[in-house]
Amino acid sequence: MTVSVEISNDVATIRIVGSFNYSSASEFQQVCDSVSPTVSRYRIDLAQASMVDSAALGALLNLRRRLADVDIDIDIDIENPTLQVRKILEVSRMDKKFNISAR
Amino acid sequence: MKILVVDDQAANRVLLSYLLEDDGHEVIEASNGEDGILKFQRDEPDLVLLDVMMPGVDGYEVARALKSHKTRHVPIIFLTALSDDVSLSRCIESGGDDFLTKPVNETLLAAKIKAHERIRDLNAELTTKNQELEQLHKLLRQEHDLAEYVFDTAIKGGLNHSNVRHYLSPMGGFSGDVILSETSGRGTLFVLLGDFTGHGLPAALGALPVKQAFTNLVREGANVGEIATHLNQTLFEYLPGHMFCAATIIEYNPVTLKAICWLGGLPDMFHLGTDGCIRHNIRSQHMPLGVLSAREFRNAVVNLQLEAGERLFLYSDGVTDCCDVHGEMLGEQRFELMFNGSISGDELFDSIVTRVRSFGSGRPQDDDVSMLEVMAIPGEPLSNGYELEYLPNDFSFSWCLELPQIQDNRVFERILQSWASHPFFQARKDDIYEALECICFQVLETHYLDVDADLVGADMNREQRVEIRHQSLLRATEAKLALIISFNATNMTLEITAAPVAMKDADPAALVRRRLSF
Repeated sequence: MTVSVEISNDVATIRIVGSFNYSSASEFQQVCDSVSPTVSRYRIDLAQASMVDSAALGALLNLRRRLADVDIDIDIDIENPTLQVRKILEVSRMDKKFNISAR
Repeated sequence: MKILVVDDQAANRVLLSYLLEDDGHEVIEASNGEDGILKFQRDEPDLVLLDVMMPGVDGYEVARALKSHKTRHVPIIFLTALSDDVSLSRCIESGGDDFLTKPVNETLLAAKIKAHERIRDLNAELTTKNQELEQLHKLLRQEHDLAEYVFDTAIKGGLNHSNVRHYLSPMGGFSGDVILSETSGRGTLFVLLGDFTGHGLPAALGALPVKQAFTNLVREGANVGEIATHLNQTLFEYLPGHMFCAATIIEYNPVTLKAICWLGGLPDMFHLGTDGCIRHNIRSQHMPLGVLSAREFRNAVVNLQLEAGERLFLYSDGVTDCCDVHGEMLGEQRFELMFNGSISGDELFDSIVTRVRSFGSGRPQDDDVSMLEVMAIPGEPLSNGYELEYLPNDFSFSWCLELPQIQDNRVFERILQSWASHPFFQARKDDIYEALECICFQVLETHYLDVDADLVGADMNREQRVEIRHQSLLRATEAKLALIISFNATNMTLEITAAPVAMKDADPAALVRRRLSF
């Protein structure tokens, strides 16, 4: 699996390809750390993420919490999850903390 | 270095000593094999130069004897006039590390000693490192065993209710899934199935505070929503940002067969009919415990009415994520098809466990797997097993409540806290609270408050009525209330009386009273 980031116009787009799980969660974390604090919006593109596990949800929540800690009101959009991934996001009610948009 | 020279020829010993001492080494001489072995043990040299051909015990035997003392690495260099392959390989086989042919070349001798000194140092370093590693490993093992013991005693046990079945299969020694149950003073059964992020020791750590808080809260008479709120807060403060606990909490009443459930983040709970088929999927409504701050957290519950013989079935996602030999996941669809009515009743749970296990039997388990079933069996309220060592004695307390005390909506909670800590009353906390609230408002509404009768509809629920009362309370300009709570231990009744104070037309009819029997 790979995590890549692209920044344009203050928007950081993080793309996850493959299985978003325990081992890739730390890579995701590192990528997030590398993003400058000046971005105003995060887009997490899950179009090519084959599955997510609880560690991945934890990594997403951690990003949310860290941004909240420094008191920045930043939108985090989760985009294009596959049906299976979308179901996992729904069961854990991630929609309460993120904007989830279908493909 | 301290070097032992074993040679029967005095001339050789003298020459070697001369060369070695010149290079700054300390030399011990031995004139035969026995003497060599003796001095090796007594003087503990760092290196041995050993002649092969000696009368009595020869060099090969000496080497074997020295190498049998395996306390540390001491290089043995054979000195030999023989140079055929057989003799040289015998030197190595008997335990020698190297050999020098006689007559000894000074440069070669110094070089070999230098090389073996390096090997010896490396060896010593390796031995120390190994010892350290062994020590650390032992310590780690001890700590692990201790932690496992604490977890086992803290988490396990207390699940022997006739209508609850469970299966918990941790991936390793520690389980990140947790199953808890506890009987309340109201005679109801509380169960919790939780799944912490990840697995192993880090995941299991969160189980300790959850178990503690869960047990205490149930015994204190808390309801499902309160337990969820409290556990969420504990985990929110306790766990790092990327960890949480997906959980379902159920209060099951064996008399009414009602179940009150809080569902946060676990896969769908199944409401199973008596035929063993899924009647409803009850979907999680909340985020897992430990994610939301107290301000964002919601403790709304789902109320279910079960029929006799029906069941609630809960599981962690380790069940549906388990893979077969080909790496294919079981999946929710296939799992739900197992509840097809072919097996029902008491055999159902074990049969599901067996089928899930045989599906995943071809591969090592890569997550904790847990399942839990609560069956509706009509019966008596459950006994919570902890005997009341003493009953409360007779007592009577009185309060005089005035504005703005009454306007504070936590006034009743405070009154309860001041005297009702005994488990005897804690078990009926909700009833007592409601009685208190009800009669106090009755007095207030009759004598002081201007409650708009049109607003209070008959179809309103308790929360709505309380809200309207509080609204009118905030507009009140005067109110004074006497409240008397007394307990009679002989007939086990608690009497709550409220009356308006200092009303000009105070009369006995203004008293409002309610009795609770235990």
